[in-house]
Amino acid sequence: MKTTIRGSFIVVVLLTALLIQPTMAQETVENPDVVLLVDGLACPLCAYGLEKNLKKIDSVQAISIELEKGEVRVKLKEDAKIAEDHIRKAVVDAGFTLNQIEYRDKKTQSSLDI
Amino acid sequence: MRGLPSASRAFRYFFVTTLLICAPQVNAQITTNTALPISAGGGMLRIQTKIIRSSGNQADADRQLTVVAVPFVVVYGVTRKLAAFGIVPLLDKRMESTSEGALGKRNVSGLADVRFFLRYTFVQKDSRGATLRIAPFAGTMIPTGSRDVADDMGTLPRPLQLGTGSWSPFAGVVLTRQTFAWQIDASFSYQYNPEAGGFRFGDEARLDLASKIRLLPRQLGGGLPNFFYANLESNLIWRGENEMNGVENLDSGGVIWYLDPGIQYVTRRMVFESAIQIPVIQDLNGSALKNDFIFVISVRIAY
Repeated sequence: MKTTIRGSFIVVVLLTALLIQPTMAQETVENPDVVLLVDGLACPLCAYGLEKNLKKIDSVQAISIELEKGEVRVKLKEDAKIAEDHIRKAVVDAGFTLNQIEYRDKKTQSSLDI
Repeated sequence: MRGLPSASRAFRYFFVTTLLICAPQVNAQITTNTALPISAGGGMLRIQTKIIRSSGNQADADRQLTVVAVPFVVVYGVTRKLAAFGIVPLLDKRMESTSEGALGKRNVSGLADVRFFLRYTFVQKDSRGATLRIAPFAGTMIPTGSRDVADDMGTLPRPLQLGTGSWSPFAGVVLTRQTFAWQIDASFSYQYNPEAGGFRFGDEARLDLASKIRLLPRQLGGGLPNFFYANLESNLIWRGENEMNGVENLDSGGVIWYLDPGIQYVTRRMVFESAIQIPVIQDLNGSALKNDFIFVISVRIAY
Protein backbone atom coordinates (compact mmCIF):
# COMPACT_ATOMS: atom_id res chain seq x y z
CA MET A 1 0.00 0.00 0.00
CA LYS A 2 2.88 2.35 0.68
CA THR A 3 3.86 1.66 -2.91
CA THR A 4 0.37 2.67 -3.98
CA ILE A 5 0.57 5.89 -2.03
CA ARG A 6 3.99 6.69 -3.45
CA GLY A 7 2.63 5.77 -6.85
CA SER A 8 -0.14 8.30 -6.45
CA PHE A 9 2.47 11.02 -5.95
CA ILE A 10 4.07 9.98 -9.21
CA VAL A 11 0.69 10.02 -10.96
CA VAL A 12 0.11 13.56 -9.72
CA VAL A 13 3.48 14.71 -11.02
CA LEU A 14 3.04 13.01 -14.41
CA LEU A 15 -0.47 14.32 -14.89
CA THR A 16 0.74 17.77 -14.00
CA ALA A 17 3.58 17.57 -16.51
CA LEU A 18 1.31 16.26 -19.24
CA LEU A 19 -1.49 18.70 -18.70
CA ILE A 20 0.31 21.87 -17.79
CA GLN A 21 1.13 22.82 -21.37
CA PRO A 22 -2.45 22.66 -22.71
CA THR A 23 -3.52 24.38 -19.51
CA MET A 24 -1.48 27.42 -20.32
CA ALA A 25 -2.47 27.65 -23.97
CA GLN A 26 -5.59 29.58 -24.84
CA GLU A 27 -6.41 30.55 -28.39
CA THR A 28 -7.36 34.14 -29.11
CA VAL A 29 -10.21 34.96 -31.44
CA GLU A 30 -9.53 38.38 -32.97
CA ASN A 31 -12.53 38.72 -35.28
CA PRO A 32 -15.40 36.80 -33.72
CA ASP A 33 -18.57 36.00 -35.60
CA VAL A 34 -20.56 35.84 -32.38
CA VAL A 35 -19.92 37.48 -29.01
CA LEU A 36 -21.64 36.26 -25.84
CA LEU A 37 -21.92 38.05 -22.52
CA VAL A 38 -22.01 35.40 -19.80
CA ASP A 39 -22.88 36.07 -16.16
CA GLY A 40 -21.42 34.05 -13.28
CA LEU A 41 -17.93 33.54 -14.71
CA ALA A 42 -15.52 34.55 -11.96
CA CYS A 43 -12.47 32.32 -12.20
CA PRO A 44 -10.43 30.62 -14.93
CA LEU A 45 -11.34 27.06 -13.93
CA CYS A 46 -15.07 27.80 -14.18
CA ALA A 47 -14.59 28.80 -17.81
CA TYR A 48 -13.37 25.36 -18.86
CA GLY A 49 -16.80 23.70 -18.88
CA LEU A 50 -18.23 26.56 -20.89
CA GLU A 51 -15.41 26.42 -23.42
CA LYS A 52 -15.81 22.65 -23.75
CA ASN A 53 -19.58 22.84 -24.28
CA LEU A 54 -19.31 25.53 -26.94
CA LYS A 55 -16.63 23.62 -28.81
CA LYS A 56 -18.98 20.64 -29.04
CA ILE A 57 -21.17 22.65 -31.43
CA ASP A 58 -20.23 21.52 -34.94
CA SER A 59 -20.15 24.97 -36.51
CA VAL A 60 -17.75 26.41 -33.89
CA GLN A 61 -14.14 26.67 -35.00
CA ALA A 62 -12.59 28.46 -32.03
CA ILE A 63 -13.52 30.39 -28.92
CA SER A 64 -11.71 32.67 -26.51
CA ILE A 65 -12.80 34.16 -23.22
CA GLU A 66 -12.28 37.66 -21.88
CA LEU A 67 -12.84 36.90 -18.22
CA GLU A 68 -13.00 40.47 -16.91
CA LYS A 69 -15.71 41.42 -19.42
CA GLY A 70 -17.58 38.12 -19.10
CA GLU A 71 -17.19 37.97 -22.86
CA VAL A 72 -16.96 34.82 -24.95
CA ARG A 73 -15.78 35.28 -28.54
CA VAL A 74 -16.87 32.62 -30.97
CA LYS A 75 -15.33 32.04 -34.40
CA LEU A 76 -17.37 29.86 -36.73
CA LYS A 77 -16.18 27.58 -39.47
CA GLU A 78 -16.29 29.06 -42.94
CA ASP A 79 -19.86 29.67 -44.19
CA ALA A 80 -21.22 28.10 -41.01
CA LYS A 81 -24.25 29.33 -39.07
CA ILE A 82 -25.18 28.83 -35.44
CA ALA A 83 -28.52 28.72 -33.65
CA GLU A 84 -29.15 30.86 -30.58
CA ASP A 85 -30.84 27.96 -28.80
CA HIS A 86 -27.72 25.85 -29.09
CA ILE A 87 -25.53 28.61 -27.72
CA ARG A 88 -27.92 29.18 -24.85
CA LYS A 89 -28.01 25.46 -24.02
CA ALA A 90 -24.21 25.23 -24.03
CA VAL A 91 -23.94 28.15 -21.61
CA VAL A 92 -26.73 27.00 -19.30
CA ASP A 93 -25.46 23.39 -19.23
CA ALA A 94 -22.09 24.72 -18.12
CA GLY A 95 -23.84 26.27 -15.13
CA PHE A 96 -23.88 29.93 -16.18
CA THR A 97 -26.37 32.57 -17.29
CA LEU A 98 -26.40 33.90 -20.85
CA ASN A 99 -26.89 37.65 -20.65
CA GLN A 100 -26.58 38.60 -24.33
CA ILE A 101 -25.78 37.23 -27.79
CA GLU A 102 -24.41 39.52 -30.44
CA TYR A 103 -24.07 38.24 -34.01
CA ARG A 104 -21.29 40.35 -35.49
CA ASP A 105 -21.99 38.84 -38.87
CA LYS A 106 -25.76 38.46 -39.30
CA LYS A 107 -25.25 35.84 -41.96
CA THR A 108 -24.09 33.45 -39.25
CA GLN A 109 -27.43 33.57 -37.40
CA SER A 110 -29.71 30.64 -37.97
CA SER A 111 -32.38 28.55 -36.33
CA LEU A 112 -30.15 25.53 -37.04
CA ASP A 113 -26.44 24.90 -36.91
CA ILE A 114 -25.15 24.50 -40.42
CA MET B 1 4.88 -4.45 22.24
CA ARG B 2 4.09 -2.68 25.44
CA GLY B 3 2.18 0.51 25.39
CA LEU B 4 0.11 -0.30 22.37
CA PRO B 5 -3.51 0.72 22.57
CA SER B 6 -6.20 -1.48 23.98
CA ALA B 7 -9.38 -1.69 21.97
CA SER B 8 -11.25 0.72 24.21
CA ARG B 9 -8.44 3.25 24.39
CA ALA B 10 -8.00 3.19 20.69
CA PHE B 11 -11.57 4.48 20.25
CA ARG B 12 -10.13 7.94 20.54
CA TYR B 13 -7.82 7.79 17.62
CA PHE B 14 -10.61 7.56 15.15
CA PHE B 15 -11.69 11.13 15.73
CA VAL B 16 -8.60 12.65 14.22
CA THR B 17 -8.09 10.09 11.53
CA THR B 18 -10.74 8.49 9.41
CA LEU B 19 -13.55 11.00 9.68
CA LEU B 20 -11.30 13.97 9.02
CA ILE B 21 -9.75 12.26 6.05
CA CYS B 22 -13.03 11.25 4.53
CA ALA B 23 -15.11 14.33 5.27
CA PRO B 24 -17.54 14.95 2.44
CA GLN B 25 -15.96 18.08 1.04
CA VAL B 26 -14.74 18.14 -2.50
CA ASN B 27 -13.40 21.55 -2.00
CA ALA B 28 -13.34 24.41 -4.38
CA GLN B 29 -11.40 25.77 -1.53
CA ILE B 30 -8.89 23.45 0.05
CA THR B 31 -10.74 21.93 3.01
CA THR B 32 -14.25 23.25 2.44
CA ASN B 33 -17.01 22.25 0.09
CA THR B 34 -18.36 24.55 -2.60
CA ALA B 35 -21.50 25.23 -4.58
CA LEU B 36 -19.65 26.27 -7.75
CA PRO B 37 -20.92 24.73 -10.99
CA ILE B 38 -19.98 21.42 -12.55
CA SER B 39 -20.75 21.42 -16.26
CA ALA B 40 -23.34 18.86 -17.38
CA GLY B 41 -21.46 15.94 -18.88
CA GLY B 42 -18.15 17.21 -17.53
CA GLY B 43 -16.46 17.03 -14.20
CA MET B 44 -13.39 17.12 -12.09
CA LEU B 45 -10.75 14.73 -10.78
CA ARG B 46 -8.91 15.51 -7.58
CA ILE B 47 -5.91 13.67 -6.23
CA GLN B 48 -5.06 14.71 -2.74
CA THR B 49 -2.51 13.74 -0.11
CA LYS B 50 -3.04 14.41 3.59
CA ILE B 51 -0.57 13.83 6.37
CA ILE B 52 -2.19 13.73 9.77
CA ARG B 53 -0.10 13.66 12.92
CA SER B 54 -1.45 13.12 16.42
CA SER B 55 0.39 12.51 19.66
CA GLY B 56 0.00 12.34 23.41
CA ASN B 57 0.66 10.41 26.54
CA GLN B 58 -1.70 7.68 27.64
CA ALA B 59 -1.26 5.09 30.35
CA ASP B 60 2.41 6.13 30.84
CA ALA B 61 3.16 5.61 27.15
CA ASP B 62 4.08 8.26 24.58
CA ARG B 63 2.05 7.65 21.48
CA GLN B 64 2.27 9.02 18.00
CA LEU B 65 -0.18 8.31 15.24
CA THR B 66 0.67 9.22 11.65
CA VAL B 67 -1.86 8.78 8.89
CA VAL B 68 -1.08 9.28 5.23
CA ALA B 69 -4.30 9.54 3.26
CA VAL B 70 -4.72 9.68 -0.49
CA PRO B 71 -8.34 10.37 -1.36
CA PHE B 72 -9.18 10.20 -5.07
CA VAL B 73 -12.19 12.34 -5.86
CA VAL B 74 -14.31 12.09 -8.99
CA VAL B 75 -17.03 14.63 -9.72
CA TYR B 76 -19.51 14.33 -12.59
CA GLY B 77 -22.10 16.83 -13.75
CA VAL B 78 -25.31 14.83 -14.21
CA THR B 79 -27.27 17.93 -15.20
CA ARG B 80 -26.51 21.65 -14.97
CA LYS B 81 -27.80 21.61 -11.38
CA LEU B 82 -27.10 18.07 -10.19
CA ALA B 83 -23.58 16.78 -9.59
CA ALA B 84 -22.44 13.36 -8.36
CA PHE B 85 -19.35 12.97 -6.18
CA GLY B 86 -17.32 9.87 -5.35
CA ILE B 87 -14.41 9.75 -2.93
CA VAL B 88 -12.11 6.72 -2.82
CA PRO B 89 -9.59 7.03 0.04
CA LEU B 90 -6.41 5.01 0.46
CA LEU B 91 -4.95 5.11 3.96
CA ASP B 92 -1.72 4.23 5.66
CA LYS B 93 -2.01 4.37 9.46
CA ARG B 94 1.06 3.97 11.59
CA MET B 95 1.01 4.08 15.36
CA GLU B 96 4.13 4.11 17.49
CA SER B 97 4.18 3.87 21.22
CA THR B 98 7.08 4.19 23.62
CA SER B 99 6.86 2.98 27.21
CA GLU B 100 9.83 2.51 29.54
CA GLY B 101 12.16 2.55 26.55
CA ALA B 102 10.27 -0.13 24.61
CA LEU B 103 8.97 0.80 21.19
CA GLY B 104 5.79 -0.74 19.78
CA LYS B 105 4.44 -0.30 16.28
CA ARG B 106 1.21 -1.13 14.55
CA ASN B 107 0.52 -0.39 10.94
CA VAL B 108 -2.37 -0.81 8.51
CA SER B 109 -2.76 0.23 4.89
CA GLY B 110 -5.44 -0.09 2.25
CA LEU B 111 -8.75 1.08 0.93
CA ALA B 112 -10.94 2.89 3.45
CA ASP B 113 -14.68 3.58 3.23
CA VAL B 114 -15.82 5.09 -0.05
CA ARG B 115 -18.18 8.04 -0.07
CA PHE B 116 -20.83 8.91 -2.59
CA PHE B 117 -23.11 11.91 -2.63
CA LEU B 118 -25.24 14.16 -4.80
CA ARG B 119 -25.38 17.95 -4.77
CA TYR B 120 -28.21 20.00 -6.20
CA THR B 121 -27.89 23.73 -6.95
CA PHE B 122 -30.98 25.21 -5.37
CA VAL B 123 -30.15 28.93 -5.68
CA GLN B 124 -28.12 30.53 -8.48
CA LYS B 125 -27.75 34.31 -8.80
CA ASP B 126 -25.28 35.30 -11.51
CA SER B 127 -24.01 38.72 -12.50
CA ARG B 128 -20.97 39.83 -14.48
CA GLY B 129 -17.90 38.40 -12.76
CA ALA B 130 -19.79 37.13 -9.73
CA THR B 131 -22.09 34.38 -8.56
CA LEU B 132 -24.05 33.36 -5.47
CA ARG B 133 -25.06 29.74 -5.10
CA ILE B 134 -26.67 27.57 -2.44
CA ALA B 135 -26.62 23.80 -2.81
CA PRO B 136 -27.84 21.07 -0.46
CA PHE B 137 -26.09 17.71 -0.67
CA ALA B 138 -26.70 14.22 0.67
CA GLY B 139 -25.04 10.85 0.39
CA THR B 140 -23.63 7.90 2.24
CA MET B 141 -20.40 6.35 3.34
CA ILE B 142 -20.07 2.85 1.88
CA PRO B 143 -18.32 0.23 4.06
CA THR B 144 -15.62 -0.77 1.57
CA GLY B 145 -12.80 -0.56 4.09
CA SER B 146 -11.75 -3.70 5.92
CA ARG B 147 -12.64 -3.95 9.61
CA ASP B 148 -10.87 -7.19 10.46
CA VAL B 149 -7.21 -6.43 9.69
CA ALA B 150 -4.85 -8.29 12.01
CA ASP B 151 -1.13 -8.19 12.70
CA ASP B 152 1.07 -10.45 14.83
CA MET B 153 -0.58 -8.98 17.93
CA GLY B 154 -4.01 -9.99 16.75
CA THR B 155 -6.93 -8.11 15.26
CA LEU B 156 -6.49 -4.35 15.30
CA PRO B 157 -8.92 -2.33 17.43
CA ARG B 158 -11.94 -1.17 15.44
CA PRO B 159 -10.96 2.52 15.37
CA LEU B 160 -7.62 1.61 13.84
CA GLN B 161 -9.21 -0.47 11.12
CA LEU B 162 -9.56 1.00 7.65
CA GLY B 163 -13.33 0.85 7.54
CA THR B 164 -16.25 1.47 9.87
CA GLY B 165 -18.42 -1.40 8.65
CA SER B 166 -21.50 0.79 8.43
CA TRP B 167 -23.46 2.59 5.76
CA SER B 168 -23.41 6.09 7.23
CA PRO B 169 -25.72 8.66 5.64
CA PHE B 170 -24.86 12.35 5.71
CA ALA B 171 -26.44 15.57 4.48
CA GLY B 172 -25.67 19.24 4.47
CA VAL B 173 -25.82 22.51 2.63
CA VAL B 174 -23.17 24.77 1.15
CA LEU B 175 -23.27 28.44 0.23
CA THR B 176 -20.75 30.06 -2.11
CA ARG B 177 -20.21 33.69 -3.08
CA GLN B 178 -17.53 34.19 -5.70
CA THR B 179 -16.20 37.31 -7.38
CA PHE B 180 -13.06 38.01 -9.39
CA ALA B 181 -11.26 39.25 -6.28
CA TRP B 182 -12.47 36.91 -3.53
CA GLN B 183 -14.58 33.92 -2.61
CA ILE B 184 -16.31 32.71 0.52
CA ASP B 185 -17.85 29.32 1.19
CA ALA B 186 -19.85 28.15 4.18
CA SER B 187 -20.85 24.53 4.61
CA PHE B 188 -22.70 22.65 7.33
CA SER B 189 -23.08 18.89 7.35
CA TYR B 190 -24.22 16.10 9.67
CA GLN B 191 -23.37 12.43 9.50
CA TYR B 192 -25.28 9.67 11.25
CA ASN B 193 -23.20 6.60 12.06
CA PRO B 194 -25.25 3.45 12.68
CA GLU B 195 -24.00 0.47 14.66
CA ALA B 196 -22.05 -2.24 12.85
CA GLY B 197 -20.73 -5.40 14.45
CA GLY B 198 -21.49 -4.20 17.97
CA PHE B 199 -19.64 -0.92 17.47
CA ARG B 200 -21.08 2.50 16.78
CA PHE B 201 -18.96 5.53 16.01
CA GLY B 202 -20.37 8.82 17.29
CA ASP B 203 -22.30 11.03 14.88
CA GLU B 204 -20.45 13.96 13.40
CA ALA B 205 -21.40 17.56 12.66
CA ARG B 206 -19.11 20.04 10.98
CA LEU B 207 -19.20 23.72 10.09
CA ASP B 208 -16.66 24.81 7.50
CA LEU B 209 -16.02 28.43 6.58
CA ALA B 210 -13.55 29.39 3.90
CA SER B 211 -12.29 32.58 2.33
CA LYS B 212 -9.74 33.41 -0.30
CA ILE B 213 -8.48 36.52 -1.98
CA ARG B 214 -6.77 36.83 -5.34
CA LEU B 215 -3.17 37.94 -4.99
CA LEU B 216 -2.15 37.65 -8.65
CA PRO B 217 -2.70 39.01 -11.17
CA ARG B 218 -3.34 42.34 -9.49
CA GLN B 219 -5.13 43.62 -12.59
CA LEU B 220 -7.08 41.11 -14.63
CA GLY B 221 -6.21 42.47 -18.06
CA GLY B 222 -7.33 40.55 -21.13
CA GLY B 223 -7.93 36.90 -21.81
CA LEU B 224 -8.18 34.19 -19.21
CA PRO B 225 -5.33 34.71 -16.75
CA ASN B 226 -4.31 32.18 -14.13
CA PHE B 227 -5.17 33.15 -10.55
CA PHE B 228 -3.00 32.86 -7.45
CA TYR B 229 -4.99 32.94 -4.21
CA ALA B 230 -4.26 33.18 -0.50
CA ASN B 231 -6.71 31.08 1.49
CA LEU B 232 -7.84 31.05 5.09
CA GLU B 233 -10.29 28.38 6.13
CA SER B 234 -11.86 27.19 9.37
CA ASN B 235 -13.25 23.76 10.30
CA LEU B 236 -15.34 23.31 13.45
CA ILE B 237 -15.98 19.60 14.00
CA TRP B 238 -18.07 17.97 16.71
CA ARG B 239 -18.28 14.26 17.24
CA GLY B 240 -20.41 12.25 19.63
CA GLU B 241 -19.19 9.45 21.84
CA ASN B 242 -18.59 6.00 20.42
CA GLU B 243 -20.51 3.03 21.71
CA MET B 244 -19.54 -0.60 22.06
CA ASN B 245 -22.38 -3.03 22.66
CA GLY B 246 -24.58 -0.09 23.63
CA VAL B 247 -22.15 1.32 26.21
CA GLU B 248 -20.80 4.84 25.61
CA ASN B 249 -17.06 5.34 25.64
CA LEU B 250 -16.39 8.48 27.67
CA ASP B 251 -12.92 8.84 26.17
CA SER B 252 -14.24 9.41 22.68
CA GLY B 253 -15.70 12.31 20.74
CA GLY B 254 -15.41 16.02 21.40
CA VAL B 255 -14.81 19.22 19.50
CA ILE B 256 -11.90 20.38 17.32
CA TRP B 257 -11.54 23.76 15.65
CA TYR B 258 -8.94 24.14 12.92
CA LEU B 259 -7.62 27.22 11.18
CA ASP B 260 -6.12 26.50 7.78
CA PRO B 261 -3.86 28.94 5.95
CA GLY B 262 -3.18 27.88 2.38
CA ILE B 263 -2.45 28.82 -1.18
CA GLN B 264 -4.05 27.98 -4.53
CA TYR B 265 -2.94 28.35 -8.12
CA VAL B 266 -5.87 28.13 -10.51
CA THR B 267 -5.59 27.73 -14.26
CA ARG B 268 -8.37 27.18 -16.77
CA ARG B 269 -8.05 23.42 -16.40
CA MET B 270 -6.13 22.66 -13.22
CA VAL B 271 -5.78 23.69 -9.60
CA PHE B 272 -2.66 23.23 -7.48
CA GLU B 273 -3.08 23.85 -3.78
CA SER B 274 -1.72 23.27 -0.32
CA ALA B 275 -2.77 24.08 3.23
CA ILE B 276 -1.95 23.23 6.79
CA GLN B 277 -4.77 22.62 9.25
CA ILE B 278 -3.75 23.87 12.66
CA PRO B 279 -5.86 22.75 15.63
CA VAL B 280 -6.64 25.93 17.58
CA ILE B 281 -9.05 24.35 20.05
CA GLN B 282 -9.26 20.66 20.96
CA ASP B 283 -11.90 19.94 23.55
CA LEU B 284 -11.83 16.16 23.37
CA ASN B 285 -13.51 13.87 25.85
CA GLY B 286 -11.31 11.90 28.24
CA SER B 287 -7.65 11.45 27.42
CA ALA B 288 -7.78 11.32 23.66
CA LEU B 289 -4.67 11.93 21.58
CA LYS B 290 -4.31 15.54 20.45
CA ASN B 291 -3.97 16.34 16.80
CA ASP B 292 -0.72 18.14 15.99
CA PHE B 293 -1.45 19.20 12.41
CA ILE B 294 -2.86 18.11 9.07
CA PHE B 295 -0.93 18.89 5.92
CA VAL B 296 -2.83 18.88 2.64
CA ILE B 297 -1.53 19.03 -0.91
CA SER B 298 -3.58 18.34 -4.01
CA VAL B 299 -4.14 18.80 -7.69
CA ARG B 300 -7.46 19.04 -9.51
CA ILE B 301 -8.08 18.50 -13.19
CA ALA B 302 -11.23 19.42 -15.06
CA TYR B 303 -12.40 17.00 -17.75
